[in-house]
Amino acid sequence: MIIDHYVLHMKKLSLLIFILPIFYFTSCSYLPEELPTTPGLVIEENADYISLTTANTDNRKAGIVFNPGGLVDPHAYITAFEDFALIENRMVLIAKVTSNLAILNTSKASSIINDMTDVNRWVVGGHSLGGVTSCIDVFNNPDSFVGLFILAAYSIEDLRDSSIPIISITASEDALLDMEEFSNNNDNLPDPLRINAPIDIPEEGTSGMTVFYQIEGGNHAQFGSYGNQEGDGSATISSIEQQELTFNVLKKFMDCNEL
Amino acid sequence: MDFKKNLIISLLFAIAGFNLFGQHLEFNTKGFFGLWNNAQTSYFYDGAAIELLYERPYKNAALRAGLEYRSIDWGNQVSINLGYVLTHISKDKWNLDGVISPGIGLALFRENPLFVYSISYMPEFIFAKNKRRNLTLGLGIRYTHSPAYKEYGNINQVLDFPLKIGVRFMGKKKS
Repeated sequence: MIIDHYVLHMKKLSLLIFILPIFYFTSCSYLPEELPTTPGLVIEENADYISLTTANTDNRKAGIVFNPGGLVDPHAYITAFEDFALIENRMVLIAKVTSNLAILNTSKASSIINDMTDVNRWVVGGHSLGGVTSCIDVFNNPDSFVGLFILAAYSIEDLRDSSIPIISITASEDALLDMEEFSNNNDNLPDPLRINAPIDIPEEGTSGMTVFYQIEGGNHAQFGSYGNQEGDGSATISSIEQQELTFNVLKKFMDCNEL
Repeated sequence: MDFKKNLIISLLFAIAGFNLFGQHLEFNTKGFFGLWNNAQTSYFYDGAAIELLYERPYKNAALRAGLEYRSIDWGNQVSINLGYVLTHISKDKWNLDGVISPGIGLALFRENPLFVYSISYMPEFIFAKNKRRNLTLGLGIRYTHSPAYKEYGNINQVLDFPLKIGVRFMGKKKS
């Protein structure tokens, strides 16, 4: 009787002991740096998104809606995108997604911009898994967006016939992006235009093509601000430099395409 | 981090000890419908959870302890939820219970999991009763707080309506 009860007890306990590590190791997110307190930057938040604005936000400019990387806290992208609000006067929305996995909410970006009636043009982008998700959203809701940017990501949907401008930004020391998948899935994007510097983006716009730009010395995690990511390469530039380079090429991309 | 590791290990032992005397095993799925957080007061969806718990009678009530994994505003969290169960109405085919349940746990962040706690009250129906298993359905209210997350995000407190659907597997009564 005692042995039977003990065996039953151990079965129950083993269930718990197996369950806990599985959930723990597959669902831990990367914490962001502490919330920035940049003068002039207004950070507001609700259950669906974090918004970055300033007193000078120009709603005639295309807003940016961004999907975070998988298992990365969305606040980790505030620093990387605050210059779009502070310098470019654009509204920036960083999506908050279930379990910090954008792939669980593939229409989050298109749904949250429906509530933002002040801005009627939106560029969607994402990092890593968030970039993949952004491509899915563009595929499913092609009329919702006027531009697409993906950071260390690729499209698993066929966007070859998409007419919106698209830019794909990678980093040379990124050891997490599966380069074979990246190369194979580039066929899902419009014709490539590889550039070495932002100035190479044609002034007349890039509709119907995909701009490819690689940041020398950057890595996977430094597109956001959440420290080192397990398995990533060693960057030879700082996260500030990588984020500045990303800002510069995206700014040029949006200017050339009149977004 | 040592404190948090010790907390998890202590809680596992506590649950294991309780489990030794547990009579019923229950598996629950929950959806959380947000009512308030410290940035907004309006309806919002606030994640889902799965829970495994054990329950044993205690005097005229019952005690329970369970492990819950849930998605919430700040990502994912695991918690140990304790419960004190009062049966308000008991019929042949169904019961109406009220469960007061404090919980403590960790918001799942790499290298630095953050402490979370919650308190909830949930009235729940137990129906389709038979000797081996019952179905449970509940709708309650829960407050959850992760104090340290305030350093990283604006929202670190939420008030939700949890909706629970579960299956209870009845153990053999002990003499």
